Parts: sequence; structure tokens; C-alpha cells
Amino acid sequence: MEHLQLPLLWFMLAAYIGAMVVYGFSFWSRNIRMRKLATSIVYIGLALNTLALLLRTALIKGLPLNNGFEFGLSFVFAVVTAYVIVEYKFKLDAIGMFVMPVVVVISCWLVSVDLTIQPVMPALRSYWLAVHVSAAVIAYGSFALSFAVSVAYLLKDKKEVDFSSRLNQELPALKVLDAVAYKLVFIGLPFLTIMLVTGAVWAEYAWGTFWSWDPKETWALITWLIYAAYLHTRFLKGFKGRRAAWIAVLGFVAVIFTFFGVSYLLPGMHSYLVPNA
Amino acid sequence: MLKFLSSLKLAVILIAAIAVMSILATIYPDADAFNSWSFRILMIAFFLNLSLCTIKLLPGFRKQLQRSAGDVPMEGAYRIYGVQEEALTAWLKESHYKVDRLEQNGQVRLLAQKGKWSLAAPHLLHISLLVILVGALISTFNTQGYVMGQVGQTRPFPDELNSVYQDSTVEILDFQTTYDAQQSIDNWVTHFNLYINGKLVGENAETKVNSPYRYGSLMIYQNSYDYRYLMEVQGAADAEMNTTYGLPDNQPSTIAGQTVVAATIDGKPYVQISDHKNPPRGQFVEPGDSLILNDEGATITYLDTAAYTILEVKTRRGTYVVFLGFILATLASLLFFSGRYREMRILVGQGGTQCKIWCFSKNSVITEEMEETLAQNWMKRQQEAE
Repeated sequence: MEHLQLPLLWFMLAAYIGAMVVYGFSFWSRNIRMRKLATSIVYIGLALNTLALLLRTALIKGLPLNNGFEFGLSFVFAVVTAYVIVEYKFKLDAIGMFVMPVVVVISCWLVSVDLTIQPVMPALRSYWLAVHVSAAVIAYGSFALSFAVSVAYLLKDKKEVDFSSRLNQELPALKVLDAVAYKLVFIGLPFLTIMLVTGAVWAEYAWGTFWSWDPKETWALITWLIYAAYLHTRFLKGFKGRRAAWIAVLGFVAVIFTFFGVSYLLPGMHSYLVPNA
Repeated sequence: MLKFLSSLKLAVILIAAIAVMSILATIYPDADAFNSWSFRILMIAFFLNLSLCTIKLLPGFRKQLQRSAGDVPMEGAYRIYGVQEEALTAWLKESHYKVDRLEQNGQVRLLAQKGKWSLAAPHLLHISLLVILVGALISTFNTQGYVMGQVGQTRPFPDELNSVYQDSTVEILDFQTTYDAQQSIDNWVTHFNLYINGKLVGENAETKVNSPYRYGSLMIYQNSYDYRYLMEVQGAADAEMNTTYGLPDNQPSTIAGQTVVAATIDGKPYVQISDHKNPPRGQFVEPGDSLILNDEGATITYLDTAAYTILEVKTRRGTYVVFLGFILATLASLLFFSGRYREMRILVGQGGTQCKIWCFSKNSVITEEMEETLAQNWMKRQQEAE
């Protein structure tokens, strides 16, 4: 069964690339039918993503949250699920064009890493793992989507004066984009808090210290600070629209650095997360 | 000054400064920025700012919690809806609003509120951060050290803990590596007797990864393990040298003027001896095998390879405070999901056939949603009635 993983991932990647391309075409051709087709391809990609997760679950006989590959697979699943929910609730399929590149980049990384199943190290054999990593998946999924919506906002805002531009016609109103990005941060931040708290409690039991300024911990805290600043400036200083969108973009840069940058460039106690890092 | 210290401007500056300093600290770990005075000063300033902000915001929060129909203003962004008071009240209760009513000078005022709990979330989160910072400060006075020993040995507490625990020892009873069904390492487990101030307080106690042993505020963690090569020296000129040594894996030790290294190669123990004059000599050994140690005729005999367990012994004074902060932070996070606060300020019109309603939320999208729901609802009900 282990050999089925890679083909499944390639099919998943193909579906996500397909969705991205069709979203792009639908945008340039202003074809709503094509956009609906792209959304259907996203559903196929999500189904394959779910299958890949289920297969991994069966292979490791546990939740697929133990290493970088499994986290990445769950992360992509969370981003696409969040997109599907937002698309359904707010009729925002136009932002698919901005979400799919994020999904495709992470999926490309997934097919490039070692998929061999390695024994789980003793420190990771804890119930805290499920809560800690699940909270991270939900938080990062929300932030990824808020990033995509914020990028859409910034691009549309730039073209606001030109009423004939495609961005103006195809993308939802700026107010809606701003509100959706904010809602996603509002969902993500409490989960990020839960991730930090459960991680710290677990570290106290596993390593004897609740906080050790490990690079991964520190960058997760930096991410938390950026999103905390997002909410504070929004609530109390009225930072909405463009300024809020820039903070959301900065926040997601921190998320990506926490996951990839720290794992590859700043090894620490979380080094086991990325295969061959 | 106090105004600036409690300002959001300072909070944002401090958050940005902490973030920037943390980034630099991860890029230049050798600088040990987190233990520097500048970082401590930043944290103290952050604590002060957060404390003052929390204190400053609490009266407003209290006032918000105590709001009643009497606080409904007569003027504002009201819209008129064709609905009777009774029907509106019933619908609001159905929609999980808490409704307060006041009749004064012939004017009926209603205040309908929902999501009140979420108002507490930011305040609780601020308090939780303060508690965590206090706990972290207390925990800097914690002491920790390591106890290392093989099965059967009784080892004293590390020097770092001597000021608190005198005459305290750990008697290692057993150390095991446990395996799961797939024969992968599941855990490392040490069983021991714990003596505090000479008294046995923990008999056959167990510690393993993810499950430390607790005695009051004392914690004993399974930190690591190592292998030692037990070697017995005989015939040395200096009688004190004739004893049993536990040599660490693949590290040189000086015994009777010779450098001895023991290691495992291809699963077999190998011993190498060097006098730094001649080429080193070495051989694979089995228990009982002896090698000549030096020119004086001393011999070294390999007895066995013994696993050493390494335990971390630590006091945790501030940890419980930090954990309390964590609980509060989690609670605050959950409160954020209890629904955004919103209220409807209602003035019941004379004759009771229509109401003036002012939908209020800090989020304009929610306000619009509320207005839309009201409009749809009463239009729909009117249609049903027709």
C-alpha cells in the first residue's frame, strides 16, 4: 500500500494545478462556467487529498501528524477545506486563483520529500501531539486563506480607479475581501494560541521545560505576535483594508518561514519535522 | 507618562520590538539574546504596558456587562421596522438574544444582546499573558541538574539542588528500552528509589519520556541514556588505580597513564590503548577478555557493557503559575468562538405596531447581516401572514 502514496499525491497535485490553470483562464476570459469547472476540479483534488490522508493514516496506524510530510499534507487539506467553506458561504470562487498557487507550491514540496514511513520517536508518542498539531493545521490553514484573500484585496485595491479592469469586475467588493480576511485571522489566532499552549505543556512533560526559545517555538511566537498586532490595530486603531491586508501577508510569510525556513535553515528541537532536513 | 505607558501605540511598538529581537535571536543564536538585559527590559516594559492596559480597560468592560435598556439612546442610527413588540421580543429570544425592557415616561426601550461572553475573551487573554509572564519570572529561580547512573548504583542529587535537598539520592533499580509491536523504540523507562534528606519517599518510582516522576515540586525526567564499558584494572603500581571503570562510548579516558577508548564496532565492543609513543593497539573483546595496559604489567579486563540512565532533576516553582496562565489563555481562545458581541437597541413606537431598531456591532459586516436578517425576517413573516 505504501507504493500508492506517490501516485495519489501526483494525481492530487495534477488536480490542484489543473484548478489553478482553469481559474486563471476563467479570470482572463471572464467565463463564469469555467470558474465553476475549476471549483469542481478543486473538489476532485480535495477528494484525492482526503484519500492520501486516509491512506497515510492506515499505513502508520495513527493520525498523520508526526512529521513534516504528514503535517504538509494536512496543511494543504486544511487550506483547501477552508477555501471550499468560504467559497460556499460567501460565493467567493474568484479568489480560487489566489489560493491555488499556495496549495500547488506546498503540494510540489510534498511530492519531492521522502515518503518512507519512519518509526515515531518516543517524545512524539503523546496525546498532546494530536491537539498541538491539529490546532496548528487549522490555524495555518486559516492564515493561508487570509493571505490569499489579502493578496486579492491588495491587487484589486491597486486597480480600484480603473473600473474596466478585470480585477474589479471579477473579484468581490473590497469590503467583502477585507471582512473575509479578518474573519479567517479571527478563527486562526485562537487556534494558534491553543497550538502554542499545548506545545508548551507538552514540552514541559517531554523535555522538562515549557519554553526553550527553540527556533520553531520562537517563530511560532513571532507569528502569534504579528496576528495579535493585526487584531489590535484593527480593533483599536481602525486598521482596515490595505494596512490590515499587508499585516496578513506579513503574518503568512512568518507562517511559511516557521514551517519551511526554520526546518531547513535553523535546526533545533523540532528538526525531525522535515524529512532529510 | 502613564497615558503613554498604557497606550496601544506603545503595545504595538513593544510587540514589534519583541518580534524583531526574536528574529535576530534565531538568526544569531550565539548572541544569547533571550538572556540579555535588553530583552529583559523589553519584557518588563511589555508586562507594565499590558498590566496598565488591562486595568484601564476593565471599567469599560464592567460597564459593558452592566448595560441595560436604560442605556438605549433616544437618537441614533435607527431604522423603522413594521413589527409589534411582542413578536419582536419572541423572535429575539428565539434567536438567543438576551432582552432587557424598560418602560419610562410612556416610552418602551429594549436592549437585546448576544455574544456577551466573547467580550471577556480579550481581557482574559491579557490576564493570561500576565500570569504566564509572572510564572516565567518565578521559574527562572528553578534549579536543575542531572543524575547519571547504571542499574544498581545509588547516585547523589546534582550539586545545583544541594541547597534545597541535602543528603538526597536516587537508587537506580532498572533501566529499559521498551519496544512497540513493530519493534520500534517506544520509550525509555527508569525505575528507582528516591531518598530525600535520607528518607525513602519514592519506592520503585518510574519515569519515562512524556511521563516524568513528581514529588512535590520536584520533577524527575527521563532525559537520556548512554552506554558504559565496565573495565576492571589489576596490577597497577598505584593501588588506587586497581578498580572498575565505566568508560563512556567512543571517548578517551586516561587510566594508569594510558589513553583507553572503548566503542562498539559492527555490534561488537572494541578496546584501544595508546601510550602516545607507539601506535595504538586494540582488539574486539568479549566479557572476561584482558589486555595489557602498561609496561608495569597492569591489565585491563572487559567485564560488560552497561546502560546508564540520565535523569534530569528539576524543581518547578513557577510552572504551575504558567500552567494557570495557559488554562486562562485556552479559555479565552474558546470564548472568542462563542459568537461576536452584537446588540439591538430598540425603541417601541407609540401604538406598538412598529419599532425603531439600531443594529450595533463593532464589525460593519455583522451590522449589515443583522439589518438584512431583520428586513428579511419581517418581510417573510408579513408574506406568511398575508
